[in-house]
Amino acid sequence: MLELAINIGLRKADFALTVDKQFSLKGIIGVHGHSGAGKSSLLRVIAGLERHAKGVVTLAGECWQDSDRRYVKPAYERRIGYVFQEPRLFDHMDVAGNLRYATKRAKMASDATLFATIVDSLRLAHLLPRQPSTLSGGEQQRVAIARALLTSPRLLLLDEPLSAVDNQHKGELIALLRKINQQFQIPIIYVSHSTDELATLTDQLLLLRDGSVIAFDDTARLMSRLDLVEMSSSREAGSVIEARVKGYDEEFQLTQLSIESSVCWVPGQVGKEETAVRLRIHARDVAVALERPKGLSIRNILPATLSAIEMGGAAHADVLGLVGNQTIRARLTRASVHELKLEVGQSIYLLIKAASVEAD
Amino acid sequence: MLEWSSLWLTIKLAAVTAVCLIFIATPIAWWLSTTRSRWATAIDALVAMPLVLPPTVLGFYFLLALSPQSSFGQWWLSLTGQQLTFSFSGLVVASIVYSLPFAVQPLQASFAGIDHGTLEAGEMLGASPIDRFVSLVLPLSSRGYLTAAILAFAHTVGEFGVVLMIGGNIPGETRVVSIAIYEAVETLNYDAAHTLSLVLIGFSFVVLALTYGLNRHFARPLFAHNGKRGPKRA
Repeated sequence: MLELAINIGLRKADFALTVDKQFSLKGIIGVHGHSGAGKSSLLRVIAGLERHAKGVVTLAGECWQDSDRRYVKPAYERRIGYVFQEPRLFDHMDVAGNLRYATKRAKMASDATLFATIVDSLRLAHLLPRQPSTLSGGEQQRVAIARALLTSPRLLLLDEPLSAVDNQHKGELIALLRKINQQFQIPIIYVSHSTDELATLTDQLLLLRDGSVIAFDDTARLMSRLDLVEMSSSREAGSVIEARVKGYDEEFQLTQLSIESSVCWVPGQVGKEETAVRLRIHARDVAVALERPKGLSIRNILPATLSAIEMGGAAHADVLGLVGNQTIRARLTRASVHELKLEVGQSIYLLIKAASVEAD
Repeated sequence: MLEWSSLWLTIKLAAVTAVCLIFIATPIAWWLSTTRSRWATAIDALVAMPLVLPPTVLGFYFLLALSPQSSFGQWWLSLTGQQLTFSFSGLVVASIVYSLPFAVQPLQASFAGIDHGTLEAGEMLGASPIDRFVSLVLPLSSRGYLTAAILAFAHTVGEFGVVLMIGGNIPGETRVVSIAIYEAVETLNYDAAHTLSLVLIGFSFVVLALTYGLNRHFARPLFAHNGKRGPKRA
């Protein structure tokens, strides 16, 4: 496993980045924060594109940057795949030319099967003779991802790669990224401002605020923290829950999942029986009841223990319900919290209206 | 009666100058378009000097600098056995300086127009600085190179004052068309002056029309950013 150690100070005209952190690069690490928090700058430091940064960066014991010794390992020797916010394809070559640009420069001997596998998994075969400027945003980003993979990188850095991709294709690209991470065993660092993307994609999450690391933890745990404004403020606030597929109801086309000892239904068929799936539940889709309600259209009613209450400044309040040892966030109004006299430790029922499911 | 030797000499001088200038102007233009040095403004101005100076000023100083009495002229003489003044080589050296801004400025504009992000993408794909220059900068600025070559060539064809000062009027060596026309007019040989002038007008027009036409036809798809201008090749 790759150990990445960053101890860096970077000063720019309008902000400063200060990071002192060690990472075990495994799975997909998300980087989140408001715009201007330093997400892209952090990626650029890792890539070697910020040569004036002060401090030290090492990967697996190898020095990549040391400002005291005035040493920067050139970015082109680091074997890092970088997918930028814009695809940055080369307009003077067709798609195949863009991909060959990467294979020609790969430090590892490139073999034809890798090319075929990557072209196949990103479904690019029919696009190879096209000019990049004639492709859609999603297609361009797929080419950019393939191009980065073809250098056989040790690490893949993705900077908001889906920002120019329409919603319809976002889901399929996210699934592709998970597949790439597993199939090619390449750790990924993924920058995004969308908690939805991060919830479905990442295993760990790094939170940046004003150029500093605020938190670094498992994605599910970090998303359930009430003290982080980045996790609470957006409409996308919610939780990530591990669930297990129990069965599929053909007639009503619902999949039955178990969350700890409770049962939950989600639309459509997801995964085979007994496979683990990741459940993304938005806080705004969860309501709280003190008794098990009857005559309600909501099917998912989970008994839980109220573990935390955070009163927002405005009308809203977020509460956490513990289901087994997993945490589900619910967004209520402060008035409801007041009226129901909610208190930590109380037994409650979480009513979940809808959930998006990501099968692993 | 057409003076082929001076026509041929003019084309040769312009072609050699243009080729040399492409190689000389490339590093200068690249440095100017990327540097943050405080000397950049001074170098910018220095490169542009031939645009405003009368050719006779350049010619006068070249006469002094290239003569066998100067250290550069001496060094050249010991190296090649030829003197630079009143020779073809001397004309090439002077033309390079005289036409320098016409090669540097289009290249500089081309280089400055290349998105830095594209070069970063190349770097992250494993391309070294030289590799990036050859594989990305050169093809992305081929239109600038075409313009630079045409302008350097054309400007050298139109050279007169500098040649007169340092080249004189040696047939086959320094007697370019502009000098030949000047002499024809001076000796009231208007027929010869007409013939050479008309040939030069026709030649210049054809060369310029041809290259601008090529530029229009082939350069566009190469430089179609965002796919707005390039023809679709689906």
